[in-house]
Amino acid sequence: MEPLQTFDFRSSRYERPNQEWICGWAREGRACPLGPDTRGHCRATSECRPVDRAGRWECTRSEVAGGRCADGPLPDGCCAHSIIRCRPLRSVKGRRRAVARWVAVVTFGLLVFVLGRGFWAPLIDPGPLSPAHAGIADCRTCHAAAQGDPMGWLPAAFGSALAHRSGSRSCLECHAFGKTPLAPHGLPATQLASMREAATARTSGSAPLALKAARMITPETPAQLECATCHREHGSSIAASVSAGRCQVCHAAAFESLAQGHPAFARYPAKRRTRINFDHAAHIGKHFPEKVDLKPPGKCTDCHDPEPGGRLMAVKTFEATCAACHAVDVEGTKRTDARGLAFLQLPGLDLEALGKRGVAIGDWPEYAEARISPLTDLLLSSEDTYRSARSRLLKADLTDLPDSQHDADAQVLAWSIKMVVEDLQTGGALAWQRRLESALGAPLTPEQRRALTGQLPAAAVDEIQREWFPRLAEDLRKHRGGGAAPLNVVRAVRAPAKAPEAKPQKEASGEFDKLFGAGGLLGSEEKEKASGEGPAVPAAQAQKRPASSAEERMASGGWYRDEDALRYRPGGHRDDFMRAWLDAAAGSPAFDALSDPKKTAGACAKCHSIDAAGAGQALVNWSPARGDPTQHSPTVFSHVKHFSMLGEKGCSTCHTLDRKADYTAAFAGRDPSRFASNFANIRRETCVECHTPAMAGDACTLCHRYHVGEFLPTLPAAALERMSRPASKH
Amino acid sequence: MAWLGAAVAAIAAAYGAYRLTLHRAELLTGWLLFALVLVLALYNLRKRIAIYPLGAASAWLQLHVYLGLLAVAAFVAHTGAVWPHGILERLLVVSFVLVAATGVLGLYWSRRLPNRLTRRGEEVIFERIPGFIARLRREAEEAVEMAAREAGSATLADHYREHLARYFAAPRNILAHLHGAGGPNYALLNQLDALKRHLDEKERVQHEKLRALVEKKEELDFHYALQLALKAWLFVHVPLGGMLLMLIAVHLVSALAFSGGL
Repeated sequence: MEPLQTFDFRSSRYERPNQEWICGWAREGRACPLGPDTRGHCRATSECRPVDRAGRWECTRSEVAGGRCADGPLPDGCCAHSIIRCRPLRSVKGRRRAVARWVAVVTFGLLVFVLGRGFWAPLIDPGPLSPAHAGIADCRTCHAAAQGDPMGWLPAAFGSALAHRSGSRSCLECHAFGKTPLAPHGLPATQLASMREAATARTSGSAPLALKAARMITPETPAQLECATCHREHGSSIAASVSAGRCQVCHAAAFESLAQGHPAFARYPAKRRTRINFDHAAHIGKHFPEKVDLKPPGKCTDCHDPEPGGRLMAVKTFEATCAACHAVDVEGTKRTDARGLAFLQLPGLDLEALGKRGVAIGDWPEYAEARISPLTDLLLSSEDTYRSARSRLLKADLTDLPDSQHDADAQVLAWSIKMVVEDLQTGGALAWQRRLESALGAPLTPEQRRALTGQLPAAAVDEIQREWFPRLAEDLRKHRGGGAAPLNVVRAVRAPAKAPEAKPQKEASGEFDKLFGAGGLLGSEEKEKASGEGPAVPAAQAQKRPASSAEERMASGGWYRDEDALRYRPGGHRDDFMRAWLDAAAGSPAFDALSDPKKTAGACAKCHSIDAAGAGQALVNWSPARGDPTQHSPTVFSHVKHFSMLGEKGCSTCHTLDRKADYTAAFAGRDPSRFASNFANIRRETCVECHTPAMAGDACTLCHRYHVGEFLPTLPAAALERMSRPASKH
Repeated sequence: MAWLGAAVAAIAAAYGAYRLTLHRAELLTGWLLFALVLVLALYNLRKRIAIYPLGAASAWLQLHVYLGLLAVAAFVAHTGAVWPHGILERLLVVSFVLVAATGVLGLYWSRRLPNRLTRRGEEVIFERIPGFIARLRREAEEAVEMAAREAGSATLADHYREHLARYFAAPRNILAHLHGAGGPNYALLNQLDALKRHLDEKERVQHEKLRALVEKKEELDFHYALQLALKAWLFVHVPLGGMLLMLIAVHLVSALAFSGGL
């Protein structure tokens, strides 16, 4: 069969597939050569347009269309072969353009309609919120862009100000992360820099290649990190899922994994000395074997329990752990000196010399030969005259005043003490409060007042006034009136409350001892030396001392008079009076003596370590380490989750006793960061045994948290008056 | 292809490194995707303004193909192959997938079908095929009339009316030709051949002519089907490409406006 088409210019018409319209007769294979116009209108009239040549009309039909026709043009010059008009068709390309135009118009129209009518929410629905935020029903709660119409999205999308987007600000309305929540880790730049420096020093190896490339893209850590950097909402969980690489892109110390290159654990888990001075090595190695009869602990869990949350292994109560051996230390049962704390102590004075020189101090007990107690000094220190006199008496021995150099100061001391007794007798707790607030330089809370007075009975004050200063009111009237109240030596009329076998202490420490000499609160040693005849009580009376002394009768704690001192005996562990005084006196000259377990009843500071708190203040650690919900350390760990992984070695799988560490030496000072732990650092290799990508995982966020520092959760600010409103659905 | 492999590896490595930074990778892939779609759309513009020296169309096509494949990779990275919730995003996914799929199909056809076209029958211009079919139809009808007139029998005419008239009316068996299946036409020829024993000598002459016309029509149908395929995928690819651009614009603005401060 012959070919259907030829491609020479005589027989093959030029096709124009780019034209929008084609002749309707093309389907029949006889498309007119003119074709439709650009709007699809047929332009056909006749097969040719005759031309007039020398007065004769000639046919101009092209060769392609068949050449000159036999009929020729009509006499009027019109073609004899008119073409039947067609209905032009769209070309393939024309149809495609039409479809494209329609799709574009419909899409644009629908978008304008939907966005313009405010039906945009389902249009850009990002999916359900995570369960934690599922209660948020309004997009505007978090997205500022949702507050306006879609036209407002443009400035929100391309505006430079962060306020337009508000993402993190919205988060922070409910979530608190300290003062600089958007700073990296919420920490000040200086702190971050020091942490970076420390970590770099402990890191070996170099960053992986991909990480180096990432650091080229972001060479500097941004000053602020938006919440959405790590958290993704509208998903199954809002919890951050951050790869190790993303963590390390900021961290100067980069490494491959926990097993390869992770910094060795330094000071982990111990970051400071323990709050309770408990030498594990000494107790496990020495004391427990010696105290088998007291059933000492045999397992770690005999003393430690997981705290709620399982992070720390908390220390059990004193009664459950320490009391079997150390209750006697608290109660002072084995003390050789007074078991009670001398609250008001009469200092011994050289009465003979003062009397000879006519120093008027009124009544003064003959048996008062001790040094002034720290608490007495504290009570007196609110008076300027006393403080002035005390400074001059620093090196003086009040029981030996051969000349009149210190007479005036001794007189001030004596009258100051008498005024304290008068104050306590007449003003009671209020007078006590005034003196303490003045001495401590800070107002006392009701709880402090209650604890610091120790519920001192008024009868006890009356008693010491009768015993020590029988003519107190008269003496003070004369003294204040400018008259002289001559010295009147008061003789002992009762048996001493203290056991005769009590031995004095010899060492002096602190400002107090510099001033008033060593010898404990009762100063028995000096008393014995001064008298040369033992306790400063009549021998006959001493021999007739009651079977049970006042001190022994107050074994459960409370106030008693011990010859020349008004004493408080702690009632056992957690005595409010002792704790209140140690807390209140921190920073005062009395604190050194109060916190000396050898000198002070209760011996609190024997176990409760004392930290320096700046500006001369001190902090007594009354409790062992406890989980603090406001503190967020960079490292997280759950003891409970690891229990099932421990074999026969139990806790010693990770915690290895370091018998060479000088644990107790660290408690000589008050800097908790200078310490030697009883236990060796946890070894990274121990963790790596399980924490690999294939087993327990080794992601950074498994053991480290991003949000660190001290912060409280945002607290609801509901006004109380709302409580009285009737309940509503919203 | 070595440079192409190196380029793919470099892009993958750069993307992997970027994912380690604190920037959101979705924003990068989103902007990249937007830029790629814009450049891909420029190819259509380039074809419209052929008068300007903007480079060879073949080079543009090559670029269009490679960037299109890169856009598919960027799309997967951007969406995480997750079916979205919003209507807009779902439309975006559907339209992108359709545009990409038709693009890949068009690429495949443009590589395979021209070879098949040159291997069979004479070369015909697509726009002329309806005319040629009309011409074959006229010739077939003339042959049938001739047979009826010369032999005084309507055997061939009846057969044409019942089995071939519809066949010659328009392009037929398009899908079969696209898939390379010759079954339908083979059946027509079998029927026509079976008729031969009922014809006399004069009718057989016209029968032979009719048979040749059927074979020629089949060649035209073949060319029509394949050339139509080469043009038809653009009916989805181009219009949906335009729709995609509009949807992307809305998506981009809304995503940035609601991006949470990044």
